[in-house]
Amino acid sequence: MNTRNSLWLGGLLLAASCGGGGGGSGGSGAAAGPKAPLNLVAGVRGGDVVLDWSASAGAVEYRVYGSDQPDVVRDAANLIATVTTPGAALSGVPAGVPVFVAVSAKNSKAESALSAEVSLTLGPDPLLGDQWHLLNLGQAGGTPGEDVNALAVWNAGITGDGVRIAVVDDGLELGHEDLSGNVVPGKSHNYLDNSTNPSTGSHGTACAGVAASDDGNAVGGMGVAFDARLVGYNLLEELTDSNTVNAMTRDAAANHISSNSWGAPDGFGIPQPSANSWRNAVESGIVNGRGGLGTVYLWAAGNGALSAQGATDNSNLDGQANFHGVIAIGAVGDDGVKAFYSENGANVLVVAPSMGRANHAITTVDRTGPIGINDGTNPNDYADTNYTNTFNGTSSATPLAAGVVALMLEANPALTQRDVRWILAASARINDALDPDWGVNGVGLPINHKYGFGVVDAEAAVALAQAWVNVGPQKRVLTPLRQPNLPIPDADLVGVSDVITVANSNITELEYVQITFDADNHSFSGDLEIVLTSPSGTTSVLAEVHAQPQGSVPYDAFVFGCARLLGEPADGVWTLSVRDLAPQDVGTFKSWRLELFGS
Amino acid sequence: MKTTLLVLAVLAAGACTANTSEQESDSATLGRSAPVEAPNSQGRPMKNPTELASETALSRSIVLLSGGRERTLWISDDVVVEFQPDSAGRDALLRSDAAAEELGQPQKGVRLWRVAAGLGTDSFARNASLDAPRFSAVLHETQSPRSPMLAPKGGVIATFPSTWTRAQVDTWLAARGLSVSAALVEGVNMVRIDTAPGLEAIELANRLVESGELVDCEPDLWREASKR
Repeated sequence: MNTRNSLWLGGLLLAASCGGGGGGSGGSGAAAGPKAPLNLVAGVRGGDVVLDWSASAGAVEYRVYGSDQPDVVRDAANLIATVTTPGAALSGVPAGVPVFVAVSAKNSKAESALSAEVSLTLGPDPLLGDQWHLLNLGQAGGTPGEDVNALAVWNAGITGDGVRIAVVDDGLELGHEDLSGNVVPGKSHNYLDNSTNPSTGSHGTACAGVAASDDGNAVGGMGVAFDARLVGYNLLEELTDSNTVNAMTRDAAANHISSNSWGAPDGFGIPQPSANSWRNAVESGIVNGRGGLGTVYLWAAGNGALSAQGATDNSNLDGQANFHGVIAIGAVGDDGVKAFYSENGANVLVVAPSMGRANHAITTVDRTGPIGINDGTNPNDYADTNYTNTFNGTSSATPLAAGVVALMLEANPALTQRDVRWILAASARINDALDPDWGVNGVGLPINHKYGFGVVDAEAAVALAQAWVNVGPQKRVLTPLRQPNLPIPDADLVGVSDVITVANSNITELEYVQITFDADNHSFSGDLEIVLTSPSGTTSVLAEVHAQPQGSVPYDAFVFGCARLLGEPADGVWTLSVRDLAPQDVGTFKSWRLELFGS
Repeated sequence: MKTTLLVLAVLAAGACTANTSEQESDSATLGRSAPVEAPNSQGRPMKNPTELASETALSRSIVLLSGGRERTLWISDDVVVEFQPDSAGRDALLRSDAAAEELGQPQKGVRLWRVAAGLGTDSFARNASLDAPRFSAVLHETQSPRSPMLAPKGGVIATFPSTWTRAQVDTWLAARGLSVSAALVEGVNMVRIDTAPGLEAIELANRLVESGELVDCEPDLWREASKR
């Protein structure tokens, strides 16, 4: 768990109940006192400056010193608060004026030296306090700390500057008051009229706001990468394969990130392969995009986990979200628990905050005027219809992750798209720690079919990005087709399995695995559970038994994806186990093969 | 000398406010991009569409050759799609079936129409396209007319071997009465070839695949999608 979470909870709530504020005097600074607090960070919540730091052993109180000038001196004139546990919120700070703050720790004998100093200038973004996904203090009833943890990154001056995000969606309102400052002029695209103005989409506009709406401009809230640049492509207004190819590769030299909050229709529970042309376009992007570093494609994992159609969809049935060239993003709530709609999947790399509570989902921009998500009819939404507090879904989680990637790429512009995959996974934070699906893969990384490697953590991701050494050239190994042709026993708990032995692959650290599985004569694919076991013993559920209320589509050489094996070696015995766990339909485990990606 | 300009009070914002521990109804929290919560189907998976009393399973299909496999798509009995909809398209369609019902626009670039079931949507679309070449039968992923939709907008996407020059591509296509309308990806021999909308585009793509000389060829499909 992120220690910051509990600190916020303990600090703010306890300070309140104890009436922990109050004056104090300068300390003695004797050596016998506790050590100066570490990890001081400052952020904003509404009109308040909020502070957090790590506890110092032996401290019985903390003293907060502040000034409008740097190099704060620990004296009575600068003492602004005394609290008994880490964490404080300071009111009355005027906007536009820098605040410099440091903290000391004190016990009965002495007061420590001051901590490292932090500074912050309040921007007058009036809705910022509602953006719990950026800083969750429990303001919406959620769990403090269950956010994207970007405060320290912003305080370090990393804001997405110089990074360009393509929002591929139903459009992007270029002139929106909270987006226009970050929009790249003349580089968006409208597929309906071939113009550079795709301003009609409310969904894409909201997504853009989550990633990179402006800060400090006296309107709305802000995006996680509030200085990143934006372009919008309204692909979803005419979603044809040729338009999709264009959207995936358009301006590939200049776009760093492609954020995609869409996909094959959710909730049907059928395998939906991607178009060959789309896969070729993404292959081109990851190899040639961004000057050869590769476009970073982020993809919403899907909202069909508990669908109106009655199917329990799995992200791995989506031939785009499970492709090795994209990073699939799931969603969690403001309590850190899986959003009920977010689809499980062995292909899901990480999750990001998205689902809020009543009247308090994601606050972001909306089409100007009452023509978007907030049309003025929902009494719980903002009176200012240029904004909404109801955005939601893996749609919202994806641009949030895209914004975090923008922060990473500003911190280290040399990262390849493969590096980004590694860093997001290795820096993710375990959430919902009691969930029984948590385990570790063969190299000890935490994994969960609901959460991938965990919740995106901007601070940890940027820190890792700054120290990251690029992974070596990627190796790809396609195994020969295995054709076991095993009849799958109907309604049987044992099932059948087959093995593939990989040798001399020269892949010591896997990045992704694609599994082509064929049981094309099974008349109801929803009956099948398919589990892959890696040579390291990691089991990954590729398909679960599920409903298909609008009819079935067979696994006809369908390609599944697996992100969970990051870092494991490829050589050894791979096992694919197939069980038909429901009566009535039967078929044959005809063939399978692996495509291994790694270095 | 530093100046303390602020009179700052420690706030424990939120701590004195009611902090309900009960999760409010999830369904009340949803934005428009997320689904409405529905009871999960448990137990035996729901089977084919014939189990849905109100559904009529589609009976006509077309095979799409994709990645060396035969993929079956099901032809709607009564829904056609109009691409780049406008009043001229509406007029053309209503001339073919004055009782056609407009079903809406799932995307701004497409409009769906319900036409008389007995007409055969593929031949209906072909006839309507004589006036304005922008109609196709709607296809479905399964036999259920409620399953995801797609439709050939017209045109095919062909990928030629990387060793072929553009001149070779042009010559090969010209021999078949075809031509490149657009190169789709720089550095990849992927081009778009214009055709009329409708099932003819699938048939052409299949023929080009069967030539054995292309890396890949698919119809340029319009697809229904979820905003997530």
